Amino acid sequence: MSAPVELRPENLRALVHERIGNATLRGNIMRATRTSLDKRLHAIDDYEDWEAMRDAAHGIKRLVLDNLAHYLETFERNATARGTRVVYARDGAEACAIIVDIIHRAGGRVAVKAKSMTSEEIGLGHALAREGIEPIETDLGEYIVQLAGEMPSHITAPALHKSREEIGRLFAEHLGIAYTSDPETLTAVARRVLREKFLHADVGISGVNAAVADTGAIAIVENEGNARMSTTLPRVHIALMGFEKLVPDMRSLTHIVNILARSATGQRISCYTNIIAGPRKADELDGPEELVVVVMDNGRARFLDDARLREALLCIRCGACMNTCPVYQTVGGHGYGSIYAGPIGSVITPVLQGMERAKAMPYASSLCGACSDICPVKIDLHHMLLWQRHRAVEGKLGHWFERLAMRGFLAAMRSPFLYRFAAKAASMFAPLFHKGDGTTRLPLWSRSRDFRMPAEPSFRDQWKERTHERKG
Amino acid sequence: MSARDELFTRLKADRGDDAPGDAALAAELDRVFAALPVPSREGLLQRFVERLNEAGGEARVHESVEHFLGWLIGELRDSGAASVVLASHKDFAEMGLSTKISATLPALRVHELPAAFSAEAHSAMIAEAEAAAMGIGRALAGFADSGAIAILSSRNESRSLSLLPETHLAVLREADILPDLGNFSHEMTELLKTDKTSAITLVGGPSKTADIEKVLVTGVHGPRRFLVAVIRKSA
Repeated sequence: MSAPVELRPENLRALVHERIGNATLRGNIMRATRTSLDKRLHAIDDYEDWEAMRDAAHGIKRLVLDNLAHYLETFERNATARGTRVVYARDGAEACAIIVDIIHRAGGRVAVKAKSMTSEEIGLGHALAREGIEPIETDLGEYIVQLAGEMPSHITAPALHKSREEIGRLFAEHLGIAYTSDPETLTAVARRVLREKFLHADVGISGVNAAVADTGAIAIVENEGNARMSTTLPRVHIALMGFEKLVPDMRSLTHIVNILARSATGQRISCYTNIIAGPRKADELDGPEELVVVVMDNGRARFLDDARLREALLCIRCGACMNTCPVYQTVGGHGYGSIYAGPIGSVITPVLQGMERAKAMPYASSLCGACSDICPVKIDLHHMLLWQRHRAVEGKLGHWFERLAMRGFLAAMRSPFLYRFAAKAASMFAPLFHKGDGTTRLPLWSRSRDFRMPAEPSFRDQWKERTHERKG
Repeated sequence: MSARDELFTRLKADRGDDAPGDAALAAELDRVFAALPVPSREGLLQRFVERLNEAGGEARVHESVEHFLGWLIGELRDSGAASVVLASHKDFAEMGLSTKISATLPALRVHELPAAFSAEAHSAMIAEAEAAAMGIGRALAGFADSGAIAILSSRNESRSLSLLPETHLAVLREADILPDLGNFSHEMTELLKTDKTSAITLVGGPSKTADIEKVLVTGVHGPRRFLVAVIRKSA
């Protein structure tokens, strides 16, 4: 077996090819995404008017987006008043350095991590390991992916791409247990191993689903209880968030909670919503002694500069756009090569990592608009994808041949004379490229799509013939 | 310039000079919420029970405190529990929870929570919760639209009580069932702003995962069972 293609957005084409022939993987992804979508339909049925829920969610997040400085300042003031330390990081490297420093000062050697896309975005686990701190992913899916040395393939189901047999072999190899592929047994093993880690870890690290300005609280949503463990048992809790995660008040938070799980997994509410405001109070019986919230930019402010992309910052990371996307359903999260996959991933990765690296991503879409229809905060995803294609072309990042061909196509479409000439030329030369099945082999163009042989006689000639007959 | 100042400079520039004040933003937010339908107050208990059960929790409705105590003792006896952790709420003492369990099941150890925090008391408390078959605490509120409850970290109830034992039992008064989470946001704001607690947790079911081929398994990290005992209004 050849070495797998490295998971980078530059490798999108190769990654897609690698996955598209894997029937097991495709079956798993299709089943998982379908399950979530079916359950979602059941859960949103609670509301007579789900559209009103989406509108309100959009309204809340839009208000935040247009007043970020105000809400961030309010959050900082209220969080600080509750004893939370709020610190800022320009980028991922700075955030990693800050977190390493906090852990070193606390004398910590083991950090238990709850699932956080933001920490994946900045490669926090690797940064900790380099500094001699043992990072332990505690979400079961993340733990599996960490043991395998891979990266998550779905926002809410990180190990979606792995079969129970693969996971069984992984556990047998790394945890010294007898091989089993029974999910119940494997989960029980992970519970036992990770419970020990929770009880002895010095530091817990989590993401943030929402930071509430008017109380200075943060909310962390989860099903497993690993975020509860990570934010309850260790002495220090570090929470990492992008600055866009703010909501104005608790009422807004409850609205986000109401739509988040319904959109993500089709639950009415996740098993645990941890609302945390500061470290343990003097009279409380347990909880961390120290809470640090790291507020990070890492390229997010760039969205503010582009009116057509800024609403990408409304995203609450539910993953519904991925579940409903025909491309995602076919290739899964790893097919994109970016930690942020699917429609939202293809919109934000070119901004976060640069168009040069991620220029293929906006094309990994049929522009069908299912993502925009399902998004609970009403991000106009498919128009953003179209705009990202525009930016990729503007940036002259397309292949020279494709650009030349497109320019020729534009000229032909504008002039009846040139169009007729080009159509004639096409039917004359097409037989040279005929593959014998009604399609042609054109350089580049037909590598990933079929190009049919021009009709003979041409549509224009057929039309002329017909109208002539009718008149006659 | 510090990272903080850089970010604030950037974000302030985005808004420009016409930044609205607190009152204008609050009014705008009110407009957003005014467009939402008011959640129904019909059949709160019934919906709460149905939806909690659907989420993998187990609702038990009791007509009286005596009925609740009888059920709890039966539950503990049948499960063969060796020890439980009990929150130190005043109403638990009024119900005689601890004394009645001990009187009926003398072999069962009932761990009370420490009166105050200390490093030693904390270690002992964690070890007890870790070994306990059940943690018994209170629910501040229940939500009919999801079947979830809200629990509070306080001097009377540890966080670990509802996290480490095999089973988490929360006692909820029927009168505390609200139509939905939004109806509780004002109370949560007050609790946090007056520094009554550092942690409110909404619990919507037992700890669960579907990370291995989407097969649902409960008790991945936290409690395998999540019970809510609802005590009726008449009680």
